[in-house]
This record gives sequence, structure tokens and C-alpha cells, in this order.
Amino acid sequence: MIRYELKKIVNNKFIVVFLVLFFCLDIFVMISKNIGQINYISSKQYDNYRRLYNDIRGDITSEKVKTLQEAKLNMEVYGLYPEVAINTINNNRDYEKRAKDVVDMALDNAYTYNLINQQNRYINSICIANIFRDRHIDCYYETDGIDEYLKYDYSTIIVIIIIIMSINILWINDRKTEMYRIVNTTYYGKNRLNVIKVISVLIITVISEIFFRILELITFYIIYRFDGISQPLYSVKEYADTLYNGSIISAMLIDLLLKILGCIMVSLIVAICVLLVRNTILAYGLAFILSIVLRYPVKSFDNYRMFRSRNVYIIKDYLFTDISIMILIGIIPLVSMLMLLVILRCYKSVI
Amino acid sequence: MLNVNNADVFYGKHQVLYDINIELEAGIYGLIGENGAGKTTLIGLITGLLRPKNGSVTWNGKDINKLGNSYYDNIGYLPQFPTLYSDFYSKDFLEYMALIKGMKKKEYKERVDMLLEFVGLSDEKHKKIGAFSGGMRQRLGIAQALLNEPKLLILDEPTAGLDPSERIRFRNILTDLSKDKIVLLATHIIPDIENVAKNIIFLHRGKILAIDTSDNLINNINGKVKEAVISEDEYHRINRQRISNAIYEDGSYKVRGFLDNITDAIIVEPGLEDVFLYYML
Repeated sequence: MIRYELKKIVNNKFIVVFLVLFFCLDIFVMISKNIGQINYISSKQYDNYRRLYNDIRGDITSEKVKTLQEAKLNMEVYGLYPEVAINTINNNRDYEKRAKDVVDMALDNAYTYNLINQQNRYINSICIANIFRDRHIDCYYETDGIDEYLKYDYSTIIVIIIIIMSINILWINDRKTEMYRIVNTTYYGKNRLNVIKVISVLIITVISEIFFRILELITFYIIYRFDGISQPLYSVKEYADTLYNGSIISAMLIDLLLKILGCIMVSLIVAICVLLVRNTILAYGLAFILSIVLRYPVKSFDNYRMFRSRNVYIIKDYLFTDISIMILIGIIPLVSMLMLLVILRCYKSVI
Repeated sequence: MLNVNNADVFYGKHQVLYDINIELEAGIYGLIGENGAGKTTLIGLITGLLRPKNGSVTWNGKDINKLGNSYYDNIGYLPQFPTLYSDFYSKDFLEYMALIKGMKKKEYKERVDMLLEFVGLSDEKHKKIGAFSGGMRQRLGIAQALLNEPKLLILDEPTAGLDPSERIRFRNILTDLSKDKIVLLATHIIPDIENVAKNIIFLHRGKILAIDTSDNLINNINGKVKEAVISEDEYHRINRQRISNAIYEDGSYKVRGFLDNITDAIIVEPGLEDVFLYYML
């Protein structure tokens, strides 16, 4: 049955036209917001520098630094790009010391909090010290653009519109065309079919979010040509102070997962409102209000802030950062989905 | 057997069906009423889409609300002006409907092809429904209603918007169907049921005016239906609500109906349309 519900959505002319339009719009927005970077990489000197970059990327060695310093002197061929690279390498080399300074300061704070018997702050400081301990950046990669990618969120609006259009196709259209009269007089029409429709909307949501996020990743990669996504997130200058010790690629996957969970929650809110409220405008209005109200505690669309956060929470002797809290809160949509499936199994629609 | 027992139906505070009592056994029933009489509402009641404020609907003695989804194993329903799903192919649509009717793949695979053959759409199975004419949609609608071999087939205005050839084709299909099931055919087009339905239910403003065989209903008004030729002046003077048919010819009108005030009117054999008019008076 899911196959046919998906077919209703995928075969719909309006969705196809919408997808094509907003696919182009998404690319246009990305390009226009990063036009400076496009200019930056459009020079002959940048091309020359990229050829040099292939030799100097990876482990930082004194030979590579020497190569860059020589290139820095040849501004006609390489422009200012080698100087930028040298500054980044210096920052990377200094990172270990900075991390050690953070550890030392955290341990000093821990000592003080222990003396004045502030146990929560003591544990907090010890946790920060442990997080920053042993941090170092031994490699050089071009990581500009990763922050821009993590901050970019316009596709979420597109996915939400796709969710609304899908729900419109699966439920509202049945009401408008009176197909509900045929559907609701079948064995599965009132209960199981609604469950199947919800699952279909969720599948479309997940596929749409993944599709647009991959599109954005490819576009940002083309614009910025970033590299080294297996490196720790803290190797990206905007995330130098992050509490997250995982790799850039794992941060991207967490970002994707949280966006998917956020979109699932929006799907469920809209689906429940449309199922329970007969008036279409009221249903969408209610869904809109609920989505905004619930957005505040469940911020699964501004994930880059979460990666930059220095907040640490101690709950029942367990350490949580904003990232882990968000992942846990992100499970709420899955629980809501199970509850909705139970409700729909029991729900009997009566006109 | 389907029974509707003392049912009243309300839309909000507005009552739309009054004390409905019906008993349906195997055979074709024509449900006749003018626009807004409550035919679709009555069908909604029988199909469980609507609930009565008072009274009940029972299937073989059991309340249909208590039967739950299993009641729908017995129903095939074609509503008025079915749009179906325009982006589906006809065969896909029937397979989809078979799934939501709870049929297993080995049950419906052959049945879908058989039904497309039965309604004359087997050459169109790979055509999208959006490209179908009105008549083809109706026939596909009938096919989906028959998927689960229902014991109760409900067709709401199935010939509305069809051309004469489609309507004849539809009547022929209906005759084949009626052998061992209850067929409830709601319409305001009398000729469509005149030669097909044995039993007629007259509905007017939410009330059942009559339930009987078409022969009995016609016999009840024997001697009351007349025809006469009258002048134009007389035509404009008489009560048009008592006229079932009027033809203008050479400056005068040949009228048919309940013409008690016209002395030289001749008695003619009544038809079902005259019965309909009789109950509307």
C-alpha cells in the first residue's frame, strides 16, 4: 500500500514542478550567498595555488611550510593564498598549546570549586578539562566552507513545503474530490490506510531532506573545495572551541539526523492536525502555531550553534552537552510517531 | 439483509432524515428523490459514513457500528461523480483499491483483469484515469465497487453526465449484477431504473414517501394520469407542477400529467415518472 501512496505524491505534477523550481532556487541562493567565495576561487593564482595545495595538504611538515613560504614570495603566480595557508598552519600548530591552556584553566577552576564545595561546577570544569585534553591538529586541510554548509538551512523550508504538499495530496484531496467516501467504506480505509499515509509522508520527508542536504554538500564543495572531512571538527576555525570531539563528517551526519528528526516532527504535527481538524485552513494554522511553539525546545534546525556551544549539563552524574541533549530530544518525534500510530489505529473518522 | 430502523440524521442542528425505516433483501432497489431529498445522506447512513442521532442500521441483525471494519467486506460503493485518482493507471487503481479492501494478492490479481473485462476497460488498463471519459470513469468506479464481491452494492447517481450509449451499457451491466446481491441505485433520472429496479424507494425532503414494487406504485395511480391538447393561454394558466411532460406543436400544447381540471383529457397508462410527480404533489 505504501507504494501506491508514494506514487500519488511522486506522480503529482505540482510536486514535480515545485521540486524543479526550488532545486534551482536552492542552488541560486547558495551561489548568491557565497558569491564572494566564488570570486575568491576564480583567479588563475587560485588555480596555481590548488596545484601546490595537492602537495602540501595532510600532515604538517617543515618541508611543506618551506614550500609555502617560497610560494608566498611569488605573489604573481600564487597571490595571497600561500599566506593564508601559512596562517592556518600556524594556528593549527598553536592549537595544542591553546587546548592545554584551556585544560589548565579548567583544572584551576575545578580546584577552586572543590574548595568552595560547588560540586556541579567542579564536575563541569573536570569535564571540560577532559574534553580538551590531548587535542591537537597535526594536519592542514582547506576547511573553509564547512561552517557555511552547517549554517545553511534554506532547504528545510523546501522540505516542510513538500511535507504540506504531500499531506494535501494524501488527505485533503481525498476530502475535496470525495474519494474519502470510497476509501472510508473499505476494510482498511479508516485506520490502517491512515497509518500507511503517515509512513509515506515520513518516507518522503526523509528522502527529501537527504536529497537536499547532499545537493547542498555538493554545491558547497564545488564553491569552497573543502577537504579533510575526516579531521576533528575542532580543526575548523569556527569550531575551535567546540565540545564535540568527533570528526567533521560525523558532525555533518548528526546535523542531517537532527534535521530529519525535526522534519519528522513537523510532518507528524501537520498530519495530526489535518486528521483531527476538518477545516483545512484551521488545521494548517494550528500546525503552524504548534511547530513554532515546539521549535523552541527542539532546535533541530540551527545545529551549527549547538556544535559551537560550550554548555555542559550534569544530570544525575551524567555529562551532557548541547549535542547529546539535542539527539535525545530528537527522539521525541519517534515517540510521537509511535503514539500517533496507536491513535490512528483507534481513530474512527465520522463526518 | 440490511435494515434501517427509525433513523434520524442531523447535520449539526439541522435534521435531514426523518424516521427512516427500510428493509433491503436481494434485488435492485431504486432510490428516487429530487435534488436535495437526502439520497446521498441516506447512503451515508447505510455505509456508516454518517451516524444516526436516533435509530440504527443493522446488517443481518447486527448493528453496523458494532460490526466495525468487517461490515465493509460486504459493501461496494460508488459515490456520485467519482474523480478517482487521475495519475493512476486503471489497473493500478483497482489493485490499490483491492489492497485497501483487505484482499490478498492471489485473490485480486485475476479479479482485477476479470472486472476490467466485465466493464469493457481491458484495453485501457495501461491508460491513466485522467485521460478517461466520464463514462469510462463510471465503469471503472463500478469495477472497484465489485472487487470484493459485495453483497450490498450502492451506486449513487451512476449515470449522471453519461451519454445515452453509456447509460444503456451501464443498465446492461447492472442487470448482470443483480442476481444475488442487494443493489441500491440512487438517482433522479427515472428512465435509468424504470426497466431495471423492481423495488422503488421514494425519498422527499428527508422522508420516505413510499417503498413498493414499481408495478404496485404504478397501479396505485391508474386512471389518474391523463393527456390533453390545450391552448397556449390555458397552458400558462394551469398548475405546471401537475404536468409531467409538455410538447409544443402548431400553436398548442400536448400535456401529460394529473389534469383533473381539464374535461377532455384522456386517461393514459402511467409510468414511473408520473408516480414520482404524484408523490411530489
